Amino acid sequence: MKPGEQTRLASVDAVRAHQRTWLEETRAAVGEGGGRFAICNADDFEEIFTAFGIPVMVVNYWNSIVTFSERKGPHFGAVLRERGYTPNMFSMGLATTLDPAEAPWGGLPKPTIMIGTTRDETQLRVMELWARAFGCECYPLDFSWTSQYRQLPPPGWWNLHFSRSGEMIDPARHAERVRQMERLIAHLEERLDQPFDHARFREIMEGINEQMALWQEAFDLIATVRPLPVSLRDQTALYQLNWQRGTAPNIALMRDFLTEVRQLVADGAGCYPQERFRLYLATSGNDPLYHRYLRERWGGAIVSSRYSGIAPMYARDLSREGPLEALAARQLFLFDKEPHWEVHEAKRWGAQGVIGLERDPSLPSRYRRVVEAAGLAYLALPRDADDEEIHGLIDCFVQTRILEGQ
Amino acid sequence: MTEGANGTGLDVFRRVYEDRNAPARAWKERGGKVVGYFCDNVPTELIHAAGFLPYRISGQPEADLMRVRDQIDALYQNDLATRPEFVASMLSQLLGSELAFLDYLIIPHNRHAIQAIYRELQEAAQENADLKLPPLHYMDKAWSPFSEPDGFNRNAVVGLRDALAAWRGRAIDDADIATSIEVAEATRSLLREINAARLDHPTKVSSSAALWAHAAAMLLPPDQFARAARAMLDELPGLPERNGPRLFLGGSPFDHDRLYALIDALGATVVTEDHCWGARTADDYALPQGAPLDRLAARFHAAPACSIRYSFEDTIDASVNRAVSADVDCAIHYVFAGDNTQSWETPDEVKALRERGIPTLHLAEQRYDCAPPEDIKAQISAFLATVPARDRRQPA
Ligand code: SF4
Ligand code: SF4
Repeated sequence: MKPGEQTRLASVDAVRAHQRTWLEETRAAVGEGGGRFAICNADDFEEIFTAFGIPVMVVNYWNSIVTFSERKGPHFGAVLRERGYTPNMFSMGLATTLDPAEAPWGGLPKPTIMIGTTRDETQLRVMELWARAFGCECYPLDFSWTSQYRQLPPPGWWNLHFSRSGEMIDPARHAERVRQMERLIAHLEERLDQPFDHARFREIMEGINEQMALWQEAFDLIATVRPLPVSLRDQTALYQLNWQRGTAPNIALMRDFLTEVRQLVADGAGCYPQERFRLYLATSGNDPLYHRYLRERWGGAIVSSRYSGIAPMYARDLSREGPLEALAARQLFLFDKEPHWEVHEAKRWGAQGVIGLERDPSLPSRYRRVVEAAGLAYLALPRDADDEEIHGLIDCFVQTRILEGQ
Repeated sequence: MTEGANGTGLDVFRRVYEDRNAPARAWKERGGKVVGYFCDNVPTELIHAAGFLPYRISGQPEADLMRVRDQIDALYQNDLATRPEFVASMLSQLLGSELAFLDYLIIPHNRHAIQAIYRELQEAAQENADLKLPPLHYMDKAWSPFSEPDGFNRNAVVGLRDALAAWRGRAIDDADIATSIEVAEATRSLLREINAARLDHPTKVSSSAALWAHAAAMLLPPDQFARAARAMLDELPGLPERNGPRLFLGGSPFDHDRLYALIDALGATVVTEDHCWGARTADDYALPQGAPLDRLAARFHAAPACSIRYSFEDTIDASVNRAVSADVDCAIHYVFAGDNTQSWETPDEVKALRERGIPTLHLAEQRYDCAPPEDIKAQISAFLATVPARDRRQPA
């Protein structure tokens, strides 16, 4: 292996292939007529469709394929601008339907229904416009975890998900959300002429717990061993297993991943040969392009990002409440981009520093204050880019904040 | 225009508009308390029933946005803290001392950037001990058409009543609410009279005058508003006819009058609009009969949060119908940069108006402060020059 080259895990490549095949199969099934298909927002309604046996595309996932994997953001941005809209990342999927010839992976088939979220006003409108472009029904649901601004997350909130999530959400919203989901399920039963299978739904929710326990075990291992056995890129790619979560193929893929990780650890395999110190990425981006420079110039390895910590938060204790109540609670609070949690994660991964994105890196942000108060170095970048300015900021950071302390 | 000793109705409205805090200051000098709130759907009847003066917070194009950057944006990752400038300018006033006279503050669940203020202020206060905030109340709302009218949204109205009662230290009874509903209906009906006069052929109400009147209804004690509104209606026959193009304004909310003044100066008149500082605030939701609180809850449930009415088509239709029924000659849609609510709706509104033969100017991603005015003026006057002439003393 040449320096700077990363290994790719076979089990993660299998996840990538699985997603593509899934879409091809879904498109074929829908195309052949009678096929049913749904689109919904990430954390909203996937499990219900899975219980109905309906393949579902998650909006954020599709948008990230357009933006990150296929790098077609500029093209589809122009498609929206031509029609008078102001594009953002959430609207990329809408643009692929307005210009299907350019859509990645052959585009999406026409859905039976789309679930419109009122996460915020933009997302509701984009989903409605998208449904109109497809000529299908749009059904809105109220609230989401990003409109959860009524309560501040309690200290140590990242430990409360499994069994104490009720403490982090508004009870009135929770009750309303459960009511709205019941109504939507009834609506689907009628539209699909198919009863909702409650047993199957519970099975999926339990399957999620099983999948996330495997995730947790694998990542606890990855985080503690030296050298790092799984690259940031593969860790991020694995997040795709969160779509169609809790299903048998996904659990099997997760199990394969754990097996491969155990083997890599046993072999002492490392993915970043130049790993001299560790950093944690507190942004929502994928493996950044400047990572290569950081490794090759300084031996700085970005060992993980918040995605690795988010996935297991989907697991919920089903012995305390019904699966629908548990799902509604999760929909109302999944996680918060909040520095105390990211510090906790960074330490778990043995990182000496944290990288954040800040519009104006010179400002004394709360991220900086909390990260530095925890004894970690903080690198604020204005952009996720791989250019001289960013390299300069990296050089300065490593020299003054990492090497000096060693 | 003749100026009476106390000024004409229009003068009162203009003065209130120019110094929007004056009525609240005067109220406080007499020992009263002031409740600040955002947006156009908080049931202010309950605030009146509690004996407080409601004060609707408005943006300020000249506000110091550095405070927002330093005290709010610094708290969050940059993908969280996005907000249009008019919202930032409201937030800025709360971070400074401009709104220190507010005794309480209500934050409704409307557009994301507004409801986020509830959390942003609390976290800013945790970081900065010098930031003094009034007690806050978050007023939730379910937006989807699938929530029960007597369920979640009604509870939000009950929750507001109870918060106000706690603030004043005494329950608010139904008789008080019933009285303030009557008073608020009288205010709305005066605004509807003004809005009807705007639609006359020819109109005599300038664009700015109408905007001032609507804002005054949200800032003055109701009796003072009623006196000024009647005076304004009485003055109207003596005002000059405005025979320029009749215009519909769509797009972002105008909480300042720069665009309105510019349109007036060009000889055109905004005879109606679709935003939360104009005619929309006087919409008649025909309150059902019943217990006072149920009447308020019914309106709160029916009125869209911001312009976010479900479905999209209903929003577009409501906007287009406003324009069409006002017999306008043309329309302008002015959308602020970062106004994500409007940026997805406006293209369809523009298209629908053009299909109906109404010439429409779409100004997208514009500055909130309408600067530089010469550029805006040039674009609008070039547009108005394309609008066919007609006799505007008659309906078309
Ligand atoms: S938590 Fe995961 S699923 Fe939810 S929005 Fe973020 S990336 Fe998407
Ligand atoms: S546009 Fe909507 S969110 Fe903004 S002030 Fe008006 S009602 Fe409130």
